[in-house]
Amino acid sequence: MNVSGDILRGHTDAIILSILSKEDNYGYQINLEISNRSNGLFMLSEATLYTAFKRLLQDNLITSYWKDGLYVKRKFYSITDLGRAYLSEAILKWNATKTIIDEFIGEKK
Amino acid sequence: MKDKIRKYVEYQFRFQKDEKTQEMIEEIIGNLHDRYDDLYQKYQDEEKAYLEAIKQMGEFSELVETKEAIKPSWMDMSLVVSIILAIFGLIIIFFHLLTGIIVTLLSIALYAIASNHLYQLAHYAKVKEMDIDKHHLLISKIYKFMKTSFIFWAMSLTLIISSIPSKLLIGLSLYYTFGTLNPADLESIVRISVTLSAIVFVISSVLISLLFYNLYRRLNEKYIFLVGRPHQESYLKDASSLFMGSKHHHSIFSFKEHMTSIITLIVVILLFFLTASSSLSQRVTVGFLEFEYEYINVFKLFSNYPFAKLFIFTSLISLMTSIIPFIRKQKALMFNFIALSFALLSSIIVKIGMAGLYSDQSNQFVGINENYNISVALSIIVMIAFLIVLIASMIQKNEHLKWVKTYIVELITLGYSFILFLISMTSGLYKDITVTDGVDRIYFYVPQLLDESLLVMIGFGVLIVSIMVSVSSLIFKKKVKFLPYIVMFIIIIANFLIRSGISKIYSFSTNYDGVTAVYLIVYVLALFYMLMYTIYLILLRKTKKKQV
Repeated sequence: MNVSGDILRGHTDAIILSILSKEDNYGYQINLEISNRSNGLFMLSEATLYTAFKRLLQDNLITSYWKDGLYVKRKFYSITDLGRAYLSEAILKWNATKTIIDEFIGEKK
Repeated sequence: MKDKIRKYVEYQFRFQKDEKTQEMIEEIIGNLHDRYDDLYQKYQDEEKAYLEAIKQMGEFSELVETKEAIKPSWMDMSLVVSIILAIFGLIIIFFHLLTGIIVTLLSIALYAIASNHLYQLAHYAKVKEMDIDKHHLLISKIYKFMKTSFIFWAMSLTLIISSIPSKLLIGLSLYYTFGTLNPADLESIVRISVTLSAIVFVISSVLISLLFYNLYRRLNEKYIFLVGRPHQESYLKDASSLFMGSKHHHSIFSFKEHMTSIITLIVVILLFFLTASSSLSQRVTVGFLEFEYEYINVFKLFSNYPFAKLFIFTSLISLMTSIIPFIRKQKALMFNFIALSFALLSSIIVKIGMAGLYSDQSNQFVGINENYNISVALSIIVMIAFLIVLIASMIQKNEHLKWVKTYIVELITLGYSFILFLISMTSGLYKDITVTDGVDRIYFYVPQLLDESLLVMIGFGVLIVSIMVSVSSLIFKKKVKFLPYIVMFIIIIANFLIRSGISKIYSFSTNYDGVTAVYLIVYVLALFYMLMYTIYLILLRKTKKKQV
């Protein structure tokens, strides 16, 4: 099945924040979770992922810290209070948008 | 294999040594290790897992700001500016020899300084940093524009050398025969000097071509010695790809980013030539003949009057400042603003200087062009227009000043349109009527001239349209985006039509058409600027929408 990459990419920030709202995580695991939860239909490119991190850090929606791993250090990201507020708002907006889109092009009841 | 991953990633970012990039490299390596481990579990093949991990990682160049990675240094930009000056120098020589010589020499000096610095850097990269890639890259930069620069320098130098004997001959002849030379002798001197110039041109073109060819050949040999392979051909293609971008790298020259600076530079150069003409006429006696020379340029007044020197000084600052934004992108608008302010200042200096000369007691200058006041006033108006748009751009870019932009910029632009509207209503024409106690001067306004010229009538019609656009938007309270700019476009068009129409009525003045032609260029530029600025705003909004 084809998915609309454009629509999904428009919600990259919210998707990342939603994953981080459960627990702190790092780049590869975040992308892996996106891939697993979408049954492999959607995966962010590294460029998109790092650009999103950079943007979220700049807007103080997430923070980062380093953790030592087995061979290498890993950069973990953590959601901030501002990030949680942003996510709540994004969820409300999405639900409202979804209702409208469902009304027109959603599955027929 | 993990070392191989590290080496691969570090190689991709080898030109970036800043802390942020180093941090990102560590992050990428960490994530790539995990990806590799997962893929190894899947394939049980180290090589396949490595290749797949790198492949899934995607294009590295997208990860960092490519423009930052190949961010041009002042040396790169100096080379680019040098070649632009080389081309300009050749063109300027045809109009004004001294300025052409200065520009060409400036171009050669810039190239020499930048090349020398690049060469030293390349040497440092090889000896101290042991980075051969960087060494070759820096050396090739020196050679990239060399052929093109050599061609233009050779042509410019040939023209300069060939013009010197004729200038000398005429100058010396006039000096030694001052007051006794008759027109027939003058004609023969001119003929001899032209022949002499042609001969010198042929000889110097051969000699200079040979000189530059040999220099180029020797430098190419030096390149092979330094790098170990011949320099790639198609320098112009490389140069254009630096500006236009290619599939390997983004352009270093984003038109959108540099648009304001390009237009500023063009306006500064144009205004320089516009202001350089003094519009003074001078009475000169050669033997028994008396000439009245018109169109004396400011350079000819250089030795006697300080304003001419001040003009050159402020113009040079203006020109130099307008080039800075191409080298330093930060604060580009501020530098554009300074450049335009100095250009405006130089115009005012010349205007004041002219007034001083005209009232000169020695009566050396017998007249000032009647349209001079109009032309200076117009040039100041055009400059102010640019300054306003620049301020608007500054405000647009400053987050804290966005509220000002929302309310003020449109008002300023509309205010400017209103001033332009008023100016469009004045024709600059007058008529002297003798009355009992002297002479009365009657000025004509545009509405009084509608019957005289179709162009004036059309221009006036367009002006009315501009008022209708403004008023209708107020009545319907419809928020028309970019309305002030649209109104300004219309008014500028109207203004131009009216000026053209008036020039036809004012046909007994010999140079009114000339002034109109020059202002046509300035107006077209102004229009182009506004249009580009509008497109820029649209693009900006679209980009923002996309980001959202």
